[in-house]
Formats: sequence, C-alpha cells, structure tokens
Amino acid sequence: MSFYNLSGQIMQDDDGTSYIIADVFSVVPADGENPFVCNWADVDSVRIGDSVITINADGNSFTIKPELFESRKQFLSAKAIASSCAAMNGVPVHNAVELLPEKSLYVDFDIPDFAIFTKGQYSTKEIKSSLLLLLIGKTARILWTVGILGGIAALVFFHLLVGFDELNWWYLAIGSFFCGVGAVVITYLFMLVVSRIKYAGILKQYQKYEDTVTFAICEEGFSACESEIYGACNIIKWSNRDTYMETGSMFIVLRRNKPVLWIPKSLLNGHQYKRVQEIFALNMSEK
Amino acid sequence: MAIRQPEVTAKHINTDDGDILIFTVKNSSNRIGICPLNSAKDDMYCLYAYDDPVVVFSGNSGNKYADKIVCEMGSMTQTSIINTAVKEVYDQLCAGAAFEYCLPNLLKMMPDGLYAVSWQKCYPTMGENMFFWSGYGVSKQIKCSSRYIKLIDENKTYSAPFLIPTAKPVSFESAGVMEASQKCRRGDELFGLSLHLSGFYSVLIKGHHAACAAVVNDEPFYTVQIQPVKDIWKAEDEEGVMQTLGLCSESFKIPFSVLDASEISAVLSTRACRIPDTYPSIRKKISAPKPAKSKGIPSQYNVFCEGYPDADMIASAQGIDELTPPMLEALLMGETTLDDKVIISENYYSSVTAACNYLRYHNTNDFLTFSLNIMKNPELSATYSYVATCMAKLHDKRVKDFFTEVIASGDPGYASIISVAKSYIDNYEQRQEISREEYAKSLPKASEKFDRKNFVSLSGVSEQIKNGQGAELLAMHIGSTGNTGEGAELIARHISSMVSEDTKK
Repeated sequence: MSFYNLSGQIMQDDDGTSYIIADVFSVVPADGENPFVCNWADVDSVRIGDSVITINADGNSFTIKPELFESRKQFLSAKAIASSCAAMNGVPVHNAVELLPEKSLYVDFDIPDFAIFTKGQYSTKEIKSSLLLLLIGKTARILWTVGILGGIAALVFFHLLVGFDELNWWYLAIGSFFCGVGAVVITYLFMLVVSRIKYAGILKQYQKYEDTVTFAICEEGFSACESEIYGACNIIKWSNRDTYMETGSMFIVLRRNKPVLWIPKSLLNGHQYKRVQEIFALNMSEK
Repeated sequence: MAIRQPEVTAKHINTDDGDILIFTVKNSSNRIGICPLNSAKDDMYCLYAYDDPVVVFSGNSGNKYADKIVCEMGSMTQTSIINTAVKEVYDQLCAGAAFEYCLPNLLKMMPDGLYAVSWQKCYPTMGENMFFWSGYGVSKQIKCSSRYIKLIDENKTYSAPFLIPTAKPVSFESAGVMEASQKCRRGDELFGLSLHLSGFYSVLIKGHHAACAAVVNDEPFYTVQIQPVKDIWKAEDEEGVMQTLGLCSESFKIPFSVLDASEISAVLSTRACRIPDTYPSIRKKISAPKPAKSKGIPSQYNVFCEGYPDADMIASAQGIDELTPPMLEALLMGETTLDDKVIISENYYSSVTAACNYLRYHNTNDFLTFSLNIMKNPELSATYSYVATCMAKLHDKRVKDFFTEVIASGDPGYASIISVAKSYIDNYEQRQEISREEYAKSLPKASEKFDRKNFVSLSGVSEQIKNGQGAELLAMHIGSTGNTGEGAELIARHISSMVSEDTKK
C-alpha cells in the first residue's frame, strides 16, 4: 500500500450517508445503523473517472458523484487511496485515460533528498505536439514499408507500361522514388487524420489538464503526482520493460509501449536536464 | 483556510464485557503515532513522538501470528510539547483526576480514531523474566506480540500486560525510585501511563521509575492503558453469514450500536499508519549512529523480575478456559482429547507445553507434580526438553532432587535434558537471594520537596455547582493543579466575585 501521507476521506451525500475511503471502504447511513464495511480484498472492482469513483462490492455498486467531493484535493486523495488499496489487494482498477501515472503503480519508498524535484503545469501545446509525435512515431515502420512498397510498385508499373532501356532507366527510377515518397506523404496525412479522429478524446482530456504536478526522478524510480497529494514516500520503481523517448519539448517514459511519464523539459534547468538524461540512460533504453 | 481544532469526546459504554470508557479523536494533530519506514528492507514501522523515533518494530510480514521484532530508539517525552502534556496528564492522574478530564490533552496528539482506556495490571517485563527497561535499545523478537496469538481464540479478547520502555536508561536515577514509590500512585497503587502497541505489549509513556518501585517493593504495577480500537469486528450470524458488528482490538469489542454515525465515520476513516510532516526528521534520527551505551539499569531488577509470569504463561492462562484433573490425566496418558473433545490442541507437544505454562501460572505445585509425572513416562520423551526447561526456571528442592536423579541414573532416555540438569545443579547452590528490603534501603531517599496535592476534579460535581459552590470548587481546582501563589488566589477571587454578582442579579 502507498499514499500513507494521506488521511482517510469521508464524502457525505444530501441524505447524510457517508462514503468512506480509507484502509477499508465503508458506507455509513445517516443514523449510523448497519454500516456497510468492506475490506479492499473483498471489493469486486473500482472504476475511477474524471471526478467520480464507483466501487463495486458485495453485489452493490456505490457511486461517489462529483458533487460529493468537497474539493479537488479530496477527490485526488480518495482516488489515490482507493487505487493503491485496491491494487495492493489484487482488485481490478479501471482508470479514465490520464496524463499522470496510475496511482496503483506507486509503492512505498522514501525518495532521497538528492533526487531531481521539479514542479509545474503541463502546457497544452507541448502535450498536443508530443502526443501526435508519439502516435506518428509508433507508425514510422509502417511509413517506411509503404514508401518502399510504393517505389517497387511504381518500378513494376513503369516497366510494364514503358519498359526499361538504356535511355530511360534513370528518369523512370527517379519517378519511382518520388512515387514512393508520394505514397508515404499520402499515408502520413491519412494516418494523421485518422489519429486525430481516433485520439480526439485523449487529446481533449490531456489539454484540459490543469493540476500542478510535482515530479521526482531518482535512480530507484520516479513520481509524477498532483502537488496537492504529493508525498516524498511514494514512488514508481523503474521496470526493465521501460523505454524512453525525447521529443522537442518532453521526456516520455513508456512502459510496454504505453506512456507512463511525461516530463516537460521546460520545467528542468540545465543541471536537472543532464541528470535526467543520465538517469534515463542508466535505467532504460531509448526508443 | 480554517484551522481544524482537535476534538476529543469521551463516553462510557456498556458491552457484554462490562463498562468501557472510550474516547473518539477527530482532527488530531498527529504528534504521536505510527508511520511506515519505507526504505527499510522488511516491512518496518516506527512509533514516533513529534519528530523523534521512539520504537521501531516489524510488521506482520503476511503472517498474522508472526511475533514482532522491536528496538527502542528514543524517548517518548524528548520533545517539550509532548513532555509537557504527558507530565501534566500524569500529575493529574496521580492526583486522582478522572480519565475523562485529563486524558484528552494527550489523546488530541494521537491519530484520529477510537480509543478504549482501562486500568490494567501489568508486569514490568517484556514477556520474559527480565526487567523491561534492562534490554532497552537491543533489537529483539518479543513473544506473543502479534495481533492474534495462537493459543487464544481469534474471537476472544485478551489483556496486554507487558511493557516496552520509552525512556532512555540514562534517565534512570536511584533516587527517583524512592520518590516514585511515594509520588507515582493513583489511590494506593503504583501506576504508569501506557499506549497499546500490539498483542500483549504496550509502550510505557510515563512511569518508568514507578515500575522500578513496584519491582523493588514487590507491589503490583498498573497502567492507564490507552488502546486504539481499529480492527473490524466480524462474526457469523445464526445463518452462517458473516456480519460486521463493530470495531475491536486486542482487549475490547465495541459494537456499532453504541456509536453514532459521526463517531463511526471518524473511526472508519482512520488509516493504520500515517506519515507525519516530521517524517524526514524521524528518518534522519533513525539513520544516525547510536551513541555508545553510557549507563544501564542495575542488575538487581532482573533478579527481582524472575518471579513474574512470562508471555507463554499469560497466553496459556488467557487462552485455556479450564484444565481439570481428568484432562491432565488424559494428557499424561498421551491423549489430546477427552470425551471426544480436544483438551487444548490436537498436537500433543503443543498441548503439553500449553498445559505446563497454564499450571505454572496458576499453581507451581500442580505444575511440578504434572511435570514430574511426564518425566516418568518414557512415551512422552518428545516433551522432556521443554518441560525440563520450564522446571529449571523454578528454584525448588523437588526439581533439584529430580535432576540429581537424572544425572545419577545415566538413563539414555534423559539424554536430551542432561545439560539442563547439570547446569541447574551447578547453579542451585550458588544462587544467592537478593533481598528487596536491603536493596530498597540502599537507595537514596526521596527529596523532601515533594508535597502531594489532593486534586479536586470538576467532573461529577454538578450537584455542588447547582448548590452555588461552583466558584469555591473552581478555586480549589485551580489551587490543586499547581497554580499556587497570588495568581491562583486572584483568579479564584475574580471567579468568586463574578458568581456572586450573577447571583445578586
């Protein structure tokens, strides 16, 4: 379990029923009679949305609606405790797409004082460009394949149509090359449109991210957590499945090819930038 | 942002186990509590007081019966704010103040939750026959320190009579023992203030010298034990369905029906441990090298503690409901059941060891008779070693005669206990009784400065207040809390004049 820096959270609805997320999940009616108390190990599943938490347990579904949270901090605290307690007990946690690493990945560990600490907000432009680059980057192999196949197809087409001889081979070859480039450009544009349509939701989600985030990076792992609930005792340890890539504005750490950490370069000073590069190179391969 | 003030409420509840005094703490300042030590290799936790680590101990490592390893690291009353509060509470308790009146000052520094407070008879040992303060700072595994104890049914509550020190031995003063002997009493009993940690163990917050005095004077020692009630109490109903009935701890079961919704919510929202804002300082102090031991507790205390029951004895005494002569007969015959009922355990070795400890606790003579009978039965030789070790803890002529006989007989059946027997015989004559009286006489006298005040508690005097004696009582109360001199007199006069003006109006 992690997030021991946070206290248990009580959310109360209009009829006085209290939903409590702490070391156990409980629902206490207004009159206090027959409270529902459930160990996290007995919870069936947890679903966490943008500002809503649904817990399924013992055949019941308890939804803690956005208006029941007194503040953003309370929602974030409840989310962190629910995620870590559920993950600790092997309960499935379904999270909405989010920019920060899932809270269930954190473990208890004291981040050393000499780790790199920085704090700030994500820039919408940086996120958008990095995300698109990431999406396109994933299709680089496909574009290469399309380009080569397009060039070969053009060569075959020209050969059948005109026929290669000593006089025309060089300009037919140049024509085939440009056909390959054209195929790549068309495919790239097509994929860009498809990506934008397909990932419009994610982009929208990422762009409205307004929380201030505290980052900590050290040899043992990293932390990127909303500053309101950040604690220097929670960390995500490096995995041997981690890779990273560096874009113009971001460092992106990928776990099983999915981004888990986005660090805006703008939040790092010169020394921190070098240290981050060193730590990443030490623990992961670059993609 | 509004500052949330700590809120402590007390109430008496009636349960099947009798009247229990419970305190509910909300919005606490978290100055005393338990935090995990994250970078440690094993799951380790720390009891802290403000920014001082007090006791470092292991978690349950996935086994609910696993004994804990503890190591005392610092002092509970090192920080002035905690020291002041503890001293004030203890002085008030010494003066006879009601728990409800004085404990909130201490409880508001503990984590939010539900606490049961009891007057608990304790043994000043750590579950073995050694004075609890002697082994300070040494990392050790303590018996029966897990939440659940094998011999005691999981649904049964049990008392926690052993103590872990939280004061550095350097604070021991011989003069303090005699002073504590006079001063640290509630009624006629020597007492301390303790916070329950786990299993049979509480940490002694205040009253180390009182414990010394109890050992020297051979008096019982009590503590005002504060026990957090944070486990979920579940039990099967008549239809075999598991129901959540309330909250429980080692010694108490509190049904939800006696708590209101806000109290239940406050308790259920607590976390097993919290990382305080002083955590970096706590970590630093734990990592800092320990200074070399400068002063220890006199060895006489360990000798005086040899007669106290150990953790095995207490576990057997609390876990076994009865052990009748027919049951003992059956055990001597090598049986673990009587009339188709398991006597103690299905395992014969466990049954005999538990029976020995049970008898040692209740009656030494019965224990010796039972042990000697076991030793005469070659079929029970598997238990010889354990039984001989238990016998060797007693200084008794019958044991000496038996061990002499064992050595002389040369019986190969006794091969496993020969070394115990030889060691016992060698030490038997050399053993010197240390007189408690002589040791007590050798201690420096208590200072004459001490003048015990009779504390006037304001709780339970509503009738007198109704009768117009409120101002007088309040004035006496101020005087009894140590506010002497002109200041207290002035306050008393002022209150008195205010009340008389009100009466005139």
